[in-house]
Amino acid sequence: MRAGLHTKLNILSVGWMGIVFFLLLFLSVYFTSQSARELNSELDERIAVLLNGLVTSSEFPILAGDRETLSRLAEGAAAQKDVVFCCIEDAHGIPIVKHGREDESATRAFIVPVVTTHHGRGEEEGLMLGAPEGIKEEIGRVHIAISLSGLRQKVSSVRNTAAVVSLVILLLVSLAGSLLLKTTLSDPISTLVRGTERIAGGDFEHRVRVGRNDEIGALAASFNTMTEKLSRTLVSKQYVDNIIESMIDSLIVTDLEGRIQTVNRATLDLLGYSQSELAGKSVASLFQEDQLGGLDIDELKSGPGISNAEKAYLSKDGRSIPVLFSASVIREEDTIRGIVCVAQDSTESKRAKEALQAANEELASAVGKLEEANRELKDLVYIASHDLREPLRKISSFGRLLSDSLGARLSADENENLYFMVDGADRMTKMIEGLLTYSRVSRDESPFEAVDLNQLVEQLRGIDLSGLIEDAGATVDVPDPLPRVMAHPAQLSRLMQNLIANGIKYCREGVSPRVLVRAERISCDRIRVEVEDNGIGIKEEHTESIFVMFKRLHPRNRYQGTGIGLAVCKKVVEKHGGHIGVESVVGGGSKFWFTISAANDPALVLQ
Amino acid sequence: MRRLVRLLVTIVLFLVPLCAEASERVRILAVFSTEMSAYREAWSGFQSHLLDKGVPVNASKYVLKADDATVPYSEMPGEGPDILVAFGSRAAKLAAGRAKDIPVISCGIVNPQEVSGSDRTGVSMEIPLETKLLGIKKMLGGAKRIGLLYSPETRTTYRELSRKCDERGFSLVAREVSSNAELSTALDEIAGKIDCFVMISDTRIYSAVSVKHLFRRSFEDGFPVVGLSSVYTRAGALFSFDCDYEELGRQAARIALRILAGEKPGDIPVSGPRRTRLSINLLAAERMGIHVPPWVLKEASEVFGR
Repeated sequence: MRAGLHTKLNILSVGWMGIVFFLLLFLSVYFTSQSARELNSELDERIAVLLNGLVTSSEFPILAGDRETLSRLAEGAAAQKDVVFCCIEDAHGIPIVKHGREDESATRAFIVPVVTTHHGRGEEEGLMLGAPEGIKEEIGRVHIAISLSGLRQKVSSVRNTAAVVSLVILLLVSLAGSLLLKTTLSDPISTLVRGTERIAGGDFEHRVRVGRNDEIGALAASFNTMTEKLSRTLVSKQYVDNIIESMIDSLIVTDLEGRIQTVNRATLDLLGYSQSELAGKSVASLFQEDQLGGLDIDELKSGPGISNAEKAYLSKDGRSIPVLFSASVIREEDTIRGIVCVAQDSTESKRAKEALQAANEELASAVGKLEEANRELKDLVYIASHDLREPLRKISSFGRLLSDSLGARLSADENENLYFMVDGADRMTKMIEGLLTYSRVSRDESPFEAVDLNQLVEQLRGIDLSGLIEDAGATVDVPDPLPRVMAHPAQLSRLMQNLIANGIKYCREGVSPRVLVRAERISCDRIRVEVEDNGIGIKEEHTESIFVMFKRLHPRNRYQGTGIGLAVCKKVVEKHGGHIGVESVVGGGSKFWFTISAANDPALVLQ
Repeated sequence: MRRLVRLLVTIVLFLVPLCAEASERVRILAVFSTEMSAYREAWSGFQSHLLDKGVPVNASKYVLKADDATVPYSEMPGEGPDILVAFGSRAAKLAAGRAKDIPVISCGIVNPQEVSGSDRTGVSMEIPLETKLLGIKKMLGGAKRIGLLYSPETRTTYRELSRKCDERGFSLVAREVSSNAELSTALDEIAGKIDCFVMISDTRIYSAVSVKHLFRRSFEDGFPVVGLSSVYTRAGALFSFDCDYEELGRQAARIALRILAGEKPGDIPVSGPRRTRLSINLLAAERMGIHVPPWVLKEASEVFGR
């Protein structure tokens, strides 16, 4: 039977008490014997002093035969403590005087000779000068008996005292020792044991409080740390278990031979098996065909594993379930522990994929048709625009001819009508030209190239718009160098020309038009170009509609134009993959902006 | 060779005076009965006197051991001593056997009669009775009755003291005892009849224990004791006389000179000490109500109990 800590400590305490007991016993015996020796010695000393005095005092009385004095001496000696008998004898051993009881038991007898000294004949000089006497003569004896009962009583008393003191010390030491063991060892260890039991029972929040600063305290601290880590581990494990169970995908863990060890809920739901039915089963048997038969552990070990391979599981009821299958080995340091297989049910995705594929095919067909239609439309627009211009040109030229030739013979109304006709034809021509331009923008598939905006603006300022600039007294400024952009040079030129021209054209009365051209890099490959004027501005509600084809905000008699310029600008910008917009304040000018790809040059922040 | 002869002659001539001088020294052997300071003082006085007199002495000393039965003359180098000085009775008795061929001077003896004879002489250390009686007169002016205990060995001293007491107007109250055992009884008899007590040198009567008893009775019964020496004064006697031991030695040296001058030792009578020293115990005096005159105190060599 296993002995508990308390039992062992109790045994230890008993053993310790035994040692202390024997130690105290030894000390008691030693102390008692020492005391007995001391008492004996004290008694002997006292009796020796008594005897010495008695011998000295009785020397002359013995010599002089003074019985009276001797009797007094003997009586006085017999009256001393512990002395029960005193006898003074002569040189022949015949008692001269005696007092007390000689036969008393438990006595110790002392017999001391009484010796007198004197000078001999011829030693008168020694007598005179006080020299030591050379002749010793025993003239009698002093006989004393002392009772040992007093001594024995004292020894007994000492022994009893020693025993009691030893017992008390033993009890105290035992109590102290037990208490000490209990508080220093037993209790903390019991606390630790209870702590482990609680933790084994699942209470991972429990912490051991020992409150010690020694090895026990260190053990408790380590225990708490271990519990914390275990708690975290279990929480992590629980967390991971929850994750695994919560997985939508199937998770199967096998050993190195492919025998199933662990499956998650998703696997059971997917295949229709129970946990026990799958445990130990070969994972290869789950596949519709022997698709795992070729699974090479060595390949898995050395390679990256299988990732998203299209396989098919076989459910319990025989259904084929398409899955995206992945597998890899489970490594623990350098040791392979097993294989983990994850399979995603790809039934829906397969269907969706097939549907998507079908939709894509339809879409592709529609796109093809639309593109065909678009190409036909573009061609129609171009052809129509181009072909329509000829008749309009004729109407305009012949109308002018008629006005020139018949102008004097026609009435004012007739001349006005003829003017309207020619003007209308001219306007139509311009509109068609605008359409053509718009159409060309769409049709032009030539590749982009790097265009220096500085050069482009300079060309517009110096050549294409020089007349307009001069007539309007306008200025076109470029405060900072402009970057290079990826664009179709002609289209970009058209765009910039339209924006700058608008800025000059839509000026305020009495204010010289001023157009600023700026650019800034807004991302690693995008440039924002701004064309700002000090013109009449645009109302907020028109900032979107002005980019619609043929949209005009002002009558032709105020500002010339077909209303297609900004539409063309927008088309060009969209062709270049950018965006266009305007920020404007009525009476405060407008800022037209567009974004375009930057050429592969180091960026220059222009603002 | 000549040089060697010259050297030898020089050495001989140098040594001869030394040898001659050595042969003129008086060989003196001092024999001590026991090693006592009194004997040493006397021996010192003896040698000093001879030296003062310009007598070259070759002296040696021997202290008798307890089992010595004779004086070992072999201790003396050469032919033996010219004079033997025996300090103490025992030495004197042991030396007496050779008195015929070696003059023996006994110094520091108590019983001169033991060493008197035609071939012996000496100096006694026994304090003259007159001196003691004179001291009693000085110290105890009114004391008339003197107590004495004696034994058969000291009857002679008793008779002498008795005669001197009669001469000087003292009354001697004496008792003969055979041993110190009878001392107490004898004192019982005379204690109430005496004004003072005189001790004489008697080994039969006096031992340490009997002397202690004597002094206790002296205090109890109020009779002062005249002791044998300053040792007794210190122990409780009212006063005692001691010899001047150095002077004693000088006296012996004078005798030696006389012997060396040709006198026979037997012709030179044994003399007593010329100079004595007084010792007084003031405590004993105070206890017995005795007033010691200041002029007497001035004479004392030792005063105990100041």
